[in-house]
Amino acid sequence: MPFEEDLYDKLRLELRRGCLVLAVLAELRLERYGYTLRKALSEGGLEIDESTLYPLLRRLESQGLLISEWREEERRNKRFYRLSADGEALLTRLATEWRSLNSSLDRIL
Amino acid sequence: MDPRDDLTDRYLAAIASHLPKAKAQDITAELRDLLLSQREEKEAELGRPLTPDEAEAMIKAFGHPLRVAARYDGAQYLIGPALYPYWWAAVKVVAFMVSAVMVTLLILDIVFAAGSSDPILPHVIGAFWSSLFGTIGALTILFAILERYAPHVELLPDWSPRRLYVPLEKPQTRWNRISELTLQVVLLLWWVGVLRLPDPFAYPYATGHGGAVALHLSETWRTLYWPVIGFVCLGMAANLLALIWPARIGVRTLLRVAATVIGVFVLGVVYRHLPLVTVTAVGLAPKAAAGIQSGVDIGIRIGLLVGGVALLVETLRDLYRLWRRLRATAPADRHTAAV
Repeated sequence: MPFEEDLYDKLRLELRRGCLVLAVLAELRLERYGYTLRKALSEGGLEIDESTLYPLLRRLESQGLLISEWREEERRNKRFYRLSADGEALLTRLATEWRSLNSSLDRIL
Repeated sequence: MDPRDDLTDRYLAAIASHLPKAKAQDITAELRDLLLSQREEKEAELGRPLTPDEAEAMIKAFGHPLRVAARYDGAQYLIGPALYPYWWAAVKVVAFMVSAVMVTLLILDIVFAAGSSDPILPHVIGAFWSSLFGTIGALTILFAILERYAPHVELLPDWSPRRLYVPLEKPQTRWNRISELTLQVVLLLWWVGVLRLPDPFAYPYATGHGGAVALHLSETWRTLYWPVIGFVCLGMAANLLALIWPARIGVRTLLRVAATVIGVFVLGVVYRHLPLVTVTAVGLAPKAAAGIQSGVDIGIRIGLLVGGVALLVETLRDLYRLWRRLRATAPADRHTAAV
């Protein structure tokens, strides 16, 4: 049913939204630029649109969780991102929360 | 220049035009790298350069420039979930009130102004849309500003479950309130001269016995201009309060009591200065004319008495409800104090 599919898509989107932030923060424990970050997430099984990822990176940077710098690589300027000290501390807390939530949901489901 | 690069430049320039100037160059530089990386990966996969059509399709798949740029804007909605319930409640009250006032004006127009050379119907219809959308638009702008600059503002005063409104008796329905409010608005507009209705004292009435009578309103009403405005405004305030904050029974009852005091004063003044309406008869025997005057006087006396009693009964009922409500909440207060 189209309605059911729409509802599924909507709820799935809500479910994924918070997870994506956690995954992006975790992947940026290593320095990456947007394109390689997206590929790393994809290889980890988490697909994310560029139109979502790049604004998200900007937002996390403006919140002080990431730091970035422009550097030349492969003959082109690229913007590299990595976790800031605040980002690392927050990632640790969020990861703990995620594991607790995950084990609770495992028990419930 | 490679035409595919020209396409990328055009696309990025379109995105930049929707971005704040301070950030546009930085963001588009990053997007350029992304688009070129995507293209290189695709070309490596195909083992050949992309055709112009393929390059165009790839850029198109990235999204409309407006949407791409919008994702970089912090605000993604006009009114967020925290303020939305307040906005929606305000819109419903405004829509109800505007609709009720306009429908009443339309009915009055149809009933009283049939055949008039200047019917108000077109004005009312025009005023309805402009009032409705103008008010909702102003509300929306106000809430959008709040969302942008004070999204966590608390619009309702501190509340307690014990103070929530629980109807102890069958409450007046929302429509009762709205229709009463509408009539009060119309009465006020008529009283201050904004709304022109047919004047019942402007022409003689045929009696059916070959004669005619004309009615003249006494000067007493002129002295009551401000008391009547006060009476109607207090009643309107009480009804508005009931619609917007149904739990504010105390303030509402006080407004009603104040309105009743003025209303009884008005009725008392009118009663003491009878006859309120003088009948002038043309083509009728003096006895018949005196009979009509007497009938009108009796009708007005009864009307004034009934109106006064109804006003008092309604106010006493409101006071009784308030008293019951205060009594119902008192034990809970004592219990809390004891704990």
